[in-house]
Amino acid sequence: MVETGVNSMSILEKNCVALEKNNAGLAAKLRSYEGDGIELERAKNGTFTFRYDNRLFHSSYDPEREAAAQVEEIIGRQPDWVVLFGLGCGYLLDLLIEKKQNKVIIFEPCMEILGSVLNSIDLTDSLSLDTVFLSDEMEGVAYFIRNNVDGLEDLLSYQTGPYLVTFPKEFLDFSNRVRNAHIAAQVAIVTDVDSRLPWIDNYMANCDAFVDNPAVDALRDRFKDMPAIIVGAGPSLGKNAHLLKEYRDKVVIIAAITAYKPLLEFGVVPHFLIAAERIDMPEYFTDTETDKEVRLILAEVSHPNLFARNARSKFVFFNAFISLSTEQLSIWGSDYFASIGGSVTTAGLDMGLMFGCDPIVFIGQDLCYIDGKTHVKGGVYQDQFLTIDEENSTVNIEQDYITHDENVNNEVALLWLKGLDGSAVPSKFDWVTFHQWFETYMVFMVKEGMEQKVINATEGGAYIEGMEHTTLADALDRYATKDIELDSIIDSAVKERKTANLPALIKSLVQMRDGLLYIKKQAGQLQKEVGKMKSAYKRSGLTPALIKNTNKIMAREKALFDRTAKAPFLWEALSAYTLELKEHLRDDRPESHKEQFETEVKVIEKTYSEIEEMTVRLLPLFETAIDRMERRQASGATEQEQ
Amino acid sequence: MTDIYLDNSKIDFEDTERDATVGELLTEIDSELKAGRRFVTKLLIDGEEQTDFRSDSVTSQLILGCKELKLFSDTVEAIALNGVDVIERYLNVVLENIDQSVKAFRAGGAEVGASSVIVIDGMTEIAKTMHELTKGGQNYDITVFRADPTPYYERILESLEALNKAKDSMDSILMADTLEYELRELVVEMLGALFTEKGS
Repeated sequence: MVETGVNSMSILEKNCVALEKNNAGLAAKLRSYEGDGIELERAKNGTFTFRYDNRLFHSSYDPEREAAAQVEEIIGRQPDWVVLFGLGCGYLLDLLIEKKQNKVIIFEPCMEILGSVLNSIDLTDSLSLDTVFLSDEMEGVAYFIRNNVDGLEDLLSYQTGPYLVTFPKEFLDFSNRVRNAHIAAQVAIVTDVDSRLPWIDNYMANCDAFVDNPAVDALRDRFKDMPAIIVGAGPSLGKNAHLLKEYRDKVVIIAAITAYKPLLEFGVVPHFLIAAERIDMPEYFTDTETDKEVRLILAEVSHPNLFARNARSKFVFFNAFISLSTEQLSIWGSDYFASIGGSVTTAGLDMGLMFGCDPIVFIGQDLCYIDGKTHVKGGVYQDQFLTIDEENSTVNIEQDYITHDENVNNEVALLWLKGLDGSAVPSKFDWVTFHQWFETYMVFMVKEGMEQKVINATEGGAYIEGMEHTTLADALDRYATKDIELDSIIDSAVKERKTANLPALIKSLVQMRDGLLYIKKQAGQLQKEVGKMKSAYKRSGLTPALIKNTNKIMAREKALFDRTAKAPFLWEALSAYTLELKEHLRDDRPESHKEQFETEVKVIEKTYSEIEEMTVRLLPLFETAIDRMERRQASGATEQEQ
Repeated sequence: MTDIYLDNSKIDFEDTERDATVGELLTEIDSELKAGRRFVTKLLIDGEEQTDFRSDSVTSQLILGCKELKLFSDTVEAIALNGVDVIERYLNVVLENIDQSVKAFRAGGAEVGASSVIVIDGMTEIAKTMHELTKGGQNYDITVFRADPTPYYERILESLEALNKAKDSMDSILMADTLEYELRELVVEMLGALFTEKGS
């Protein structure tokens, strides 16, 4: 019989085909892998085991029995996701899947092991699942966690003895990254819920500014092959910022808003300042003539007062995580979403590359505590006092903030990153998130074949995998060799920019307003239904009819969600408020039917009352924006007629 | 004046120089008991049982410094039976320790080193005690174990050597395999072969 198709494939090829869906890069790497391998041995029961570094990695008698005991331990802890450090021969993975623990992330630190195992053992059933991710890159795992693991989900890391003993450094690094990625996902939920409404407030208030100022992609490819210096406000900025002064005409200086005043102290006026603060922070500016020399690159959700500042010019950038922006981006005359890693310097990298700059050089990007400081001197922090408690993994930061009468004290979790010299440096969750984003971005650049160079010339702090590390003096010496006609480049870019489409904008705003009115009505009716159920429950307790009544509520919720799902903004507004509802549904504490009913009624009532409040708050914003845009359109039409 | 009892009967012991030690007393009483195939098995000093009464810290004490010394004796047969019983019970404890260690090794727990030391030390102690019991039994013409334990000593040693080697190379899986599939089987075999079946 002639074997065809999948059957005739080698085991390696079958595994690679299964891997392709989730990790095509690894599949390609395995297909072309020509490095050393390991020798697989037969255990006494006929299955595979192997030795690496003179150590057995599975039982030489019965590896499956061994894995069964491990799986029992894992399943007993009821995790949502299992993160395995080490694939081994895949017994644990296969058994986890067999036991319906389908969400598994595996990092294999050794390519020799991975290549040999996938060459000889068919793991296609497990590897082909959407929820199984195998990688030989730590950053790949961190990226997968950030993008696929809900911050509310539990994540259990598991490793067997041989992997722990053979790869201790990798394990430590891996554990930190997994922990950091998961914390980032958890923090994202909190930030999202906390920030959502102020973002919408700001966006709606900034509509006029989006019409008046160009989108940042007006500068796309305008600085081709010119070096950009992205300036963060880390403590190491003090080491080299002064060098920029004499190179100002030969580089494009893009600074985080927090680095603006410190740079001025070194006699350097940046060309661009990036800001995305949702609250007004005038303390970042000098309120002098110098402010008028810089151009602002502002997020659409920045506080309106930032757009009102007297600067040389302003550019707007839009974010894909703001659903208003995803719906209206083209209306504003933009087709660029900044890839945001949570900080303005991460956004700066993406913008610098979009501008065509090469290389992109970072300074002041420490991403860790240096000498008891979080920021360079001269900014908004007059003084800082840090206490690092390694035993309890916390950092206490007491800060003398420029606008506060008294010192501000807060405690944050202590996390660790790899430093420039390879040793661990103390960090915190937001920096760790930025760091992970940078490393993911570097991997992305390689995969996309982007040839622009990215250099970390911070001269201190965290090591960023994928970037070249050198001094600023060296980077300037090598790349800042020609004068840049910055003003004329910007002027011509602004002249040629796309403008906002007002009729389309008004139509979009009206649709959103109508959607909000629908949500308001449904939320009100849902509350009425719940009110009726509560009265009935008070009268006759939990009756079968009452339980059946909950179906009505579910049907109404479904209608509400179906309608809003079609409009990203409405969906986002709604989902931000249904978080508690989702948390409740996840909660599997044993409750009696009565307790369950009471809790459900309470959560639904609270959720939809908040949703109604949200619509009451947002509707006037839309009414005002529609009114303003209609007037602009009318005056524009009048101007044209004249 | 120190009151001295043997098996709850008061005895006289001459200590005219007032410098006799507990050790000297024990030697004298053991030598008297030997003819009747008995030995001192327990000692209480001023009401307090001395767990390791043949150690220097106890035997070097002056009798004069004690108010009361109570000694208890047993026959060689009873001592041997008791020893065998202790070994049997301890082997069962070793089995439990093996199971715990294997579980920890397989799971990659951090306590791997500590739990293996308990098993290795336990088996070494068992082998030594079995050897001494067998030798003592031979002296008094007593059959201590149901079968000759000598062939097991070598197998215990081999397993312990393999364990130590695996431990040195931090090979937790080899340790688990050795414990689970070699030493455990050996202990089960010893329990079946060397000891009288319970209830028979």
